[in-house]
Amino acid sequence: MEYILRTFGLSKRYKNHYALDKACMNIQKGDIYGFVGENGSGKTTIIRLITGLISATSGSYELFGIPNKSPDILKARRKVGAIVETPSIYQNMSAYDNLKMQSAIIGINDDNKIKEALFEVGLIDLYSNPKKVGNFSLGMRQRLGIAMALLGDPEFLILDEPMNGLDPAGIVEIRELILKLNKTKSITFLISSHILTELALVATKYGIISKGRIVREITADELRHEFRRSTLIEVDNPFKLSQILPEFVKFKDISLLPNGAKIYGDTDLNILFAAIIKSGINILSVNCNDANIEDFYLSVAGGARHD
Amino acid sequence: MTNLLKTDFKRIFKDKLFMIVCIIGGAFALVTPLLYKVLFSAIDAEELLGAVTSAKSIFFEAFLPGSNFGLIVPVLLSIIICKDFSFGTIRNKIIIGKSRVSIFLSMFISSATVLCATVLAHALLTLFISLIFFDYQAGQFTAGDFGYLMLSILFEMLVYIFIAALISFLSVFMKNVGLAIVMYIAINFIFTIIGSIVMVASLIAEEKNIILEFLHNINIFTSSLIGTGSSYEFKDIMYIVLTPIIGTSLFVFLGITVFKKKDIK
Repeated sequence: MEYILRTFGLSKRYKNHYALDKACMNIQKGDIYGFVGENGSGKTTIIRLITGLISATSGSYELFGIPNKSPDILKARRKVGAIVETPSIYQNMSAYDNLKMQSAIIGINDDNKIKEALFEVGLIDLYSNPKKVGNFSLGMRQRLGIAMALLGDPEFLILDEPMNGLDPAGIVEIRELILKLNKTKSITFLISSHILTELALVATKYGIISKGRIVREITADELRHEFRRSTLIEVDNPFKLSQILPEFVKFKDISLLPNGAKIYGDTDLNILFAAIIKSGINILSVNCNDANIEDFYLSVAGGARHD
Repeated sequence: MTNLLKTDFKRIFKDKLFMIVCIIGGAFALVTPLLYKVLFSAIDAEELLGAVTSAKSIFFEAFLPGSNFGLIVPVLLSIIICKDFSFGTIRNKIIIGKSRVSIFLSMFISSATVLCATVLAHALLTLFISLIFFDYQAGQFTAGDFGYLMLSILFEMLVYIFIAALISFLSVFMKNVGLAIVMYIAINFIFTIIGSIVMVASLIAEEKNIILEFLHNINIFTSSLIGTGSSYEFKDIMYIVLTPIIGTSLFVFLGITVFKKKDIK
């Protein structure tokens, strides 16, 4: 299992307040890691820490297996691209000039790279456009920021609230871009957002942060399994129910309980209930649950928030 | 480091403010000698002109950190440097693994180079225009004077390297263009005023005061030992060279230390 990023009890204290409190995060190669948390929960703080913008009060992290205290961490950072909060661009320069500047910092002297990056983010028209970035829309700046982050051929791209301020079409474009880059260039992503439904469309793994603590990490598959559509049936004879259910529901979709059973997935409940009644079992209650990422977030972070 | 230097030079030269610096430099170089000429013509005292001023004195005045151009260039350069903080573009350098030491050194070297080049260009232009109206100095221009001129230019450059170190330090320390400028102007004014007070106190003092002389000699902002004679004594050279070198080293060290620990938003 190749880890791109691992943090070990990472903390950041500002005066008397812990912005990040012993955070442990694990991102594997190829992940699209959705980083979810309320405003001020510590999402940007952890991003600033791993990008070297701020230093940790305690704890450590490994980037591409290299510890943060090692001098080689600078080499590891060369494989990282990031947009922290807002894209860092010279407002008084054109898109091309900004990309040229970033190329110069990285040490690239190839205009084709600039063209390629602009093409990837759908801004190729700006290649020879002298319009200053200060006059760009937020969506264009966001995409230009991604283009700049792509210049160094990063293996790990960190996007802090990339959907912020984007119109619906812009959100779709960014989402498709993320999926394309993950698939075609095998770029691992860390995306922080509080637009959970958007994140659910791209993320392969989630990290839930609340009050500076990462309260849960879960893969999208685990989440789907744990929070898929379910029906809770309470009966007077659970043993008899357990004998009937396999005739109508796949075994893996049944979770037997002391007072009944939980059935996952889509099952024709009319047929099932008819069979249960026919076998003489009394149904005491039926509870349908159609949970999603938001319910999951509230169940995990909500508890932490009310601690 | 080379890549960072290239980028820093590029962003300085691409900035409109740099163009403004060049225009202001050209204008001051033209206006200053003309003002002397016009002023003395107006008071009908052109015969005194040669005794009061010369191309040489106007040339060295152009170098003074407290002079118009000497104050404007570092201020505008601070604005350009601080844009990396105000636009957040400093983050791009850190994120892709450039060390903070090399980022600071690149900032210092590029600002020192540009500062020295613009101030020197302005002073030389002032000299050439002054030579149209005035003699270089009262006596004949000798090979010794040429050597003195070259050496003085070198010393002035040391002063501006020190100023570049100071503004680089203030930029990373403040991370805010307004505060960095206010601090620089305040420091410049305070040291210029101290220089004047020390000079007056030295003149009033009946006996030679070693402390006043020392304070007078180490005040980089008044550069009182440079360009005021026709040759340098060894003791003067020590003051002229060592003071900016120690000051530069101190601010570069402080700048690196502060920047290494500074949280970037």
